[in-house]
Amino acid sequence: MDYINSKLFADVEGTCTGRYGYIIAVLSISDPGSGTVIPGVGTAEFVVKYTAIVYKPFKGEVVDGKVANVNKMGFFADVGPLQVFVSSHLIPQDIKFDPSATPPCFSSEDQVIERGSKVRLKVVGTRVDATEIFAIGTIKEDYLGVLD
Amino acid sequence: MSDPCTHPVQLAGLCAVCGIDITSTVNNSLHISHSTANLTVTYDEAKRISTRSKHSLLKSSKLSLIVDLDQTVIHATVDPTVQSWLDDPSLVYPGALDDIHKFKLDDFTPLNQSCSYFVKFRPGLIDFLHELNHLYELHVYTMGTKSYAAAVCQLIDPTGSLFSERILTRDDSGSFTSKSLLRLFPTDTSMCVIIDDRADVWSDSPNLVKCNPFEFFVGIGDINAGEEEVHFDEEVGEKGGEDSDHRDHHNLSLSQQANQRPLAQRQREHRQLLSRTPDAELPRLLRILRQIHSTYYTYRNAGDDPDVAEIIPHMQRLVLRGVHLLFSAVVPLGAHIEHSPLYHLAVRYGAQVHTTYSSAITHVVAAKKGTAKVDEARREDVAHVVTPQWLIDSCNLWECRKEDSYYLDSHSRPKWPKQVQSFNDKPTTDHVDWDTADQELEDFLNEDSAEEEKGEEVKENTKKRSRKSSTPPSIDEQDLHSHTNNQSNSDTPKRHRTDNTSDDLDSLDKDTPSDNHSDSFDDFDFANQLDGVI
Repeated sequence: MDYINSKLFADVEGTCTGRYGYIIAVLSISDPGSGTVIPGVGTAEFVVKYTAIVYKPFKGEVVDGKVANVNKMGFFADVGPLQVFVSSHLIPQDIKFDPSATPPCFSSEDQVIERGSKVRLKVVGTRVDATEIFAIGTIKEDYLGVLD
Repeated sequence: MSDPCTHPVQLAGLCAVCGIDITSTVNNSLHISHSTANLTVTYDEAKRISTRSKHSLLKSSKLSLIVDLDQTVIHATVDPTVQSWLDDPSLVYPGALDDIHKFKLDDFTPLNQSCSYFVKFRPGLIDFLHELNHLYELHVYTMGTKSYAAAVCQLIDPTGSLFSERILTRDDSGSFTSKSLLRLFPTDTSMCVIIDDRADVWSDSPNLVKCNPFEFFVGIGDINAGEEEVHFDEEVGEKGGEDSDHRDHHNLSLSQQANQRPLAQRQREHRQLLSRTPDAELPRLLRILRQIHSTYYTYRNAGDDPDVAEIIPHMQRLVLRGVHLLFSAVVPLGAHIEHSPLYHLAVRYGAQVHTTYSSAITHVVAAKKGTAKVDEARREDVAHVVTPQWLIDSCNLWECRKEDSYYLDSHSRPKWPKQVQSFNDKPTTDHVDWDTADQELEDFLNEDSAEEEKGEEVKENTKKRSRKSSTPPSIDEQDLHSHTNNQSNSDTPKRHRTDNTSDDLDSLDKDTPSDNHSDSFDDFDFANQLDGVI
């Protein structure tokens, strides 16, 4: 039983499924009962039902994230396990890319977006792969952008 | 949004502007960012971005410089023998351990043990990079892994002021065997210079300034080389198998190096361990890179739109300008000389290659003694009979090497050597006064007076030349004349543009600060044009 539990934790926590999104933490596990031995191999199969905290981004959702990487085409922000890309097209015009700064950043008179900055952004689109989720964000709307 | 989105940027099949899944509709696949491999842009967007970055480069008067790590600016090894030297410096010669840095990486060790890397900086590296940082936007492009590159850059550039995040590794480039400028600059490579110790991985890009490999730990080679290297001047790249094979192969060779300790083995055999040869490659590169930069901006300031890919080959052609080569026992019998790598090398660096001996020959490049051509040259005793190494070294160092240490044997030194070197070595002060350049050129064309200092043989040859060049002026000459008129007015910013780009290059070089190389620019075209006439 302990073995099945730890195997489940190891196998599913931190993974990403297309259907449910990221599985962040397993909360409770129902009794797996007695498994069935697979003929010819000798391994046993258990059907385990569990409840877990999952995270799946949706279009239109406003989230807070931390900037991970800035380049001339935009920046990537970490929103928990998810990485959201904000293209330079979806950054307000007055915030410009400054390649000569170290580290490189997008900056305007009152805002600086560089690695480590906290930003609030809105998800404008997602693509869900079998094992990965890609998301596009924007800060080109009111009340979005750098958080102080 | 009223206009339909053109999906200019996409992230793994997702439009980065409107957020729509466009996997099935749009196929744009230009990678331009350094790190994130699944971010692609359309050609138009790439163009837009490159125009913007070009503007910012021009504003700060910079060019882009792509720097290779292994064997170009550093030499790395995983041989733990180095650790024993660090513990007991008396084992190696004094000063050898300066600038050796150590770091550990956890990745790619099959046995799950972390691997210590020892990195030796090429002499003068830090000054070199800081100096270049004023002239170039520095990028790193390495065949190493991401973590390796990050660790090395952390050593070279702890503050991130040089490379910042402009680091491209094989994890991002998608290739283990070749590098491509188009990966970073898909639309415009006219402002990119590359420095690398291997030309083959760049498929001999004209933007490349090849340097000699830096080999400090003797016998270690490049720990991130895709496959075993074929060391000839222009190495031949080996096609690799699948990526996974490569990684395995690479892991294997790394662990082999760590376990077999090739340096300790050499130590036991009392062979050379650490290179003692003073390495002046970086100052030399700095000189060349400075010159490329100043040439580029001279044109740019003159209202031109120059291309580094033309400036570099042009500078290379000046190296062996005026040299007439004859190969002997270098090209296999029956093979076409055009297929020989040495031939291409010589031509690229501006030498004239002949197939039979004549009085014009200045250098006979011979692989062995006693061939008919060598004997013939020796009878005349005017041409230098040198080993192929002379040609290779000259091209590697971008200078016509003194023949002294390259003679085939003690008799190869000619009694009356021709003075090809006068082009490059002699300070041509008379050419600095550009007001009289016009007049001088005419003198030169009519009398070939510039060649007077050459030996008897040459004089004869010269007479032949001047006879020929006094025939009615050909188009080439007329071109040259109109060209000189432009030269004398070099203060006016906008100049007459000829179709021939090298002509343009010459006229503009007048403005560059006189340096060894730029001094020699001006003569180049005359020689070429004259050859065209003859």
